[in-house]
Formats: sequence, C-alpha cells, structure tokens
Amino acid sequence: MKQQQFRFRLITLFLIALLGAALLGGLRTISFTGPSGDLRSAILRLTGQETASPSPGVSVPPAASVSPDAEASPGAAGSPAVSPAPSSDPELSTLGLGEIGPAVSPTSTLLPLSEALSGYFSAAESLAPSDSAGTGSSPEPPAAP
Amino acid sequence: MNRKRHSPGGSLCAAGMLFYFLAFLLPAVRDASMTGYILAVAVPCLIFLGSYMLPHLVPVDRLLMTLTNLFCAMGVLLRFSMSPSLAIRQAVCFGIGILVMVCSAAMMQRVRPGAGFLLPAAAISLLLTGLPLLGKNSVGLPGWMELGQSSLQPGELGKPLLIPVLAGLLSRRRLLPALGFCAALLSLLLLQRDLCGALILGGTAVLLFWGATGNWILLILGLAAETALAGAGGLLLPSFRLSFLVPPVSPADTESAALPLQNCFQLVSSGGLWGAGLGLSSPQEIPSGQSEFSFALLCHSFGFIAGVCFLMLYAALLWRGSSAARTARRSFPGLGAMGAVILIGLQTFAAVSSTLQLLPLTGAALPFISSNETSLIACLGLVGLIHGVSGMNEIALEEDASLAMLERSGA
Repeated sequence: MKQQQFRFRLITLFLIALLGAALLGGLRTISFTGPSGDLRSAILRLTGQETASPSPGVSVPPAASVSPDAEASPGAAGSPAVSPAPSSDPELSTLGLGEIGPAVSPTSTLLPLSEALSGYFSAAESLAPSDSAGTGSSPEPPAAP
Repeated sequence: MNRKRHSPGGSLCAAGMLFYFLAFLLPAVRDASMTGYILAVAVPCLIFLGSYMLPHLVPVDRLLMTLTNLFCAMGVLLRFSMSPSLAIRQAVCFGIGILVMVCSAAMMQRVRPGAGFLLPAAAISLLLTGLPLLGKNSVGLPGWMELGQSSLQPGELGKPLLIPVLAGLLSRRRLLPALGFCAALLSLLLLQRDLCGALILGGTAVLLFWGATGNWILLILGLAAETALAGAGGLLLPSFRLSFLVPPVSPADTESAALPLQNCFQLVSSGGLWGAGLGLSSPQEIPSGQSEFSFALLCHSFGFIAGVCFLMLYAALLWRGSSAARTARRSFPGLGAMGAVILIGLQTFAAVSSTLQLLPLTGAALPFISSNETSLIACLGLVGLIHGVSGMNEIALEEDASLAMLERSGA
C-alpha cells in the first residue's frame, strides 16, 4: 500500500509537470506584440528601460526619432522625416525576446496613442522653419537611442 | 472536527462567489441584459449550494467542490461573453452535472468490485463508447452523435463508469480482463477516428496499470504503444489529423482547416498578460461551438496570468484528488480516485497544449470550462468518484477516532 501511495504521488507529479510544460510552452504566445501589456512591455516597465523618454511634459513617441534632415526640408511640415528606431537593441536582446517584432514596439509605450501622436506632430511643427516662430512650446528633440 | 480540517476552501469560495456576481452583474447593467441579472444570482447560488450546502448533506471534499464550482462558473461566464443563451444552457448543464456528481459519489461509496457491478458497468461503458458508430454524426467531429435536436458525445458519459470498472479489475488483480476491456474501448474509439480520445484513455490505462502493479515493463510497453499510436495516427495517417481540426469546414482542404488554429493562437497572444477585459474581448473570433478554444478565450478575456492561475488551480485539483486516492484504505477506491485524477489531468494537458500549439489541435475539451456539455457532465461525474472516496476516508477517520475514544474510556 505504501508503494502504491508513492506511485500515486509520482503519477500526480508527472501530471502537474505536464501542465507546467504546457504553461512554459504558452509563454511564447505572449512574446508576440499584443495590443497591450505583453511580456516585453511588462519587463521594460519593471526594469525602467521604457522611461528613457524625453523630459516630462514632452510627449514624443519612443518608437520614432526625428531626423535632423527635417530642418533642411521646409515643405515637410506635416510629414516630418522620421527614421524608425533601430531594429536591434543590445539591451533588449538580452531579454531573449528581441527576435520577435520591432525592438521597441508602438504598444510598449506608457503614453496613450492619441497623446503620443499629438506630441509627435507638435515636435514636427516645431522643427519646421515656418511654424517655429509662433508656437509657445518647442519640445527638445529626443536623444537618439 | 475532521470536516473542518478538510475544508479550507471557504474563503476561496466566498471570493469566487463575489467575483462571479460582479462579473455577471457589470455586463448585465451595461447591456441591460435580463439574462445577465439572472446569471448574476444563479451562478453564485450554485456555487454556494455546491460548496457550502452540499458538504452538510453528503460527505464531499469542500475544497475540491469549490475548485470544481469555480471552473464550471468560469465556463458559464465565458459562454455569457459569447451569447446569453449559451450561458443559460451551460448553467443548466452545470446544475445537472452537480446531480451526476452526487450520484457518482454515492455509487463509489456503495459498490463493491464484484462481478455484479463490473459486468454491467463494463457493458454500459462499452455501449456508450460505441454508440456513435450506430448514430448519425451531424457535428462532423469524432465521437459525436445526433440525439433529437441536439448532439452529444455518449462516450464521455461512459467515463465515470469505465474508471470504476478498470479500478475494480485492477484491485482484484485481473490484469488480462482489464487489458481486454481497455483494448475494446480503444478499438471503438479508433473506429470513430477519435485518436485524441484513444490516446487520453490509453494514457490513463497505462498509468493506472503502473499505479496498481508497479510493473515497469508494462509501463514502458504501454508508453511505447501510446507513442506508436500517436505517431501512426498523427504522422503516417494525415487523415487522422485532419479529422481533429476544428471546424471541419472541408476535410480535403488542409489550409482552410488550419485557419481556426491560427485564430486560436492569436486569441491567446492578443490577450497579452492582463487580457482584453471582461466584456471587451472579441469572442466572435472563434466559432461558438468550438469547445476546444475555451482556454484561448479565457486567456484572451482575462490575460495569460489568469490562464496561469487557472492552470495552478487545476494542479491543486489534481493534487487534492490524488491525496484522496493516497489516503484510501482499500485498493479499489484508491485506484478509482486516481483514475479520475489521471483522466482529468491528461485531458487538461491535451486541451491546453493544443490551444497553445504545442500539440496538433486534438479536439479535447478543457474539463469543466469547455462548452462541450457532455464533457462537463462527465467531468463532474469523475470528480464525484473522488468525492466518494474522500467521503469514505472521512468516515474511516471518524470511525478510527471513535474507536480510539472507546479504547481510552475502557482503559
């Protein structure tokens, strides 16, 4: 009877291990870029890497950086030349998730999308020579990643 | 005294009741849905009846009962996000399942593994398993048959009977009849092209044989046979795999049949860690009748963390059932409870793994949560076997305590 109990215990542990294996296999689903709160965003929030954005009050989407070439093209006020974020970030690749999706996805920002977009266009306007005189606030250009 | 020691599920039950009350009430207020109001009262009432009242009437394990009720209520909630009528149907099946569970527990406590029980039970379970071969299958999935206006899986209803049969034969060391019974069941399932059902049942039989006998050669041979069966069915015979893809839009068209699988995986991943939110998910992404996608819908609505929590609750249920099996005084109830635990565990693994694309889409229903009503009733019947054994253990403990008191008073 004791041996049978031991075997029952082993079988139960085996079943629980199967469920654990399924769980570990399921972790790869959330490495996809979801609409909100994927694993990458959670890790970035926890490690504070996502807060490497410009000064508070200035909302520039972290997924894009404004190119200096924007000043040389005055006609491009509404559509600034934007260079996407580099596709491979050494800090992010250490997380083991860098292979899937862009290095910093638009969904991994703490800002709401509407706020980020408004900051995006206000930054572009400030960089344009024709609009820079009348505007009250001119956000600093973000640091390159 | 013992009952108090074995009932740590009180706070879990209260939290679950509050959660489900609010979970049904809030969408009901938002959509002004009368069904939502009814379910907001009915589902917590079912949980209360099952977890608080039932342990006073029949000897059952309260923690196990609470866990089961929470799973079943989640099934109703997920159906409610798809369609209120589906939720009502699921809640009715939940209630029927509780009755089946009580009957199953009573059967486990009363029957003895003699020929008077084993022969009729084996015949009924074989008949139920083979019944779809005779009936009309309008669903297109293996194991289903049409009955009146609805379809059901009679083989699932045979599960609460076949486990006691197998346990009875093994407890009496009738290995050859047990092997023959398993072979007959597997043949019937394979004739219906139900490879997943055959693998789950075969795995249960192999582990139960090893649990009863401790024979390593039998275990290795059984696992090898399982692997060969899976390989032959899944790889060498592509028609087998196609038969498990859901929905059976066009059996000849592999690409279109694989489409729901992609949706299912994307549904889990799009939920992220915290989910799309209650009532904000998009269950229309998956076909309403596909019970296999319950885990995907759970992860999409409540997030992957909720999925992890539910898997942990499943593990707790398995451990609790196993502890009932381990503390059984006799071999028959112990093997019966363990068989139920193995069957539920393997079915959970198959359902979750196929949802997460670790296995081919098998068609296994997630126990208790799935919208497969026959599976829900059968799983509650299986839990009833564990409750029966747990009740027997409690009675034995109380008898021991009273004997010890008598001895002390005599001394």
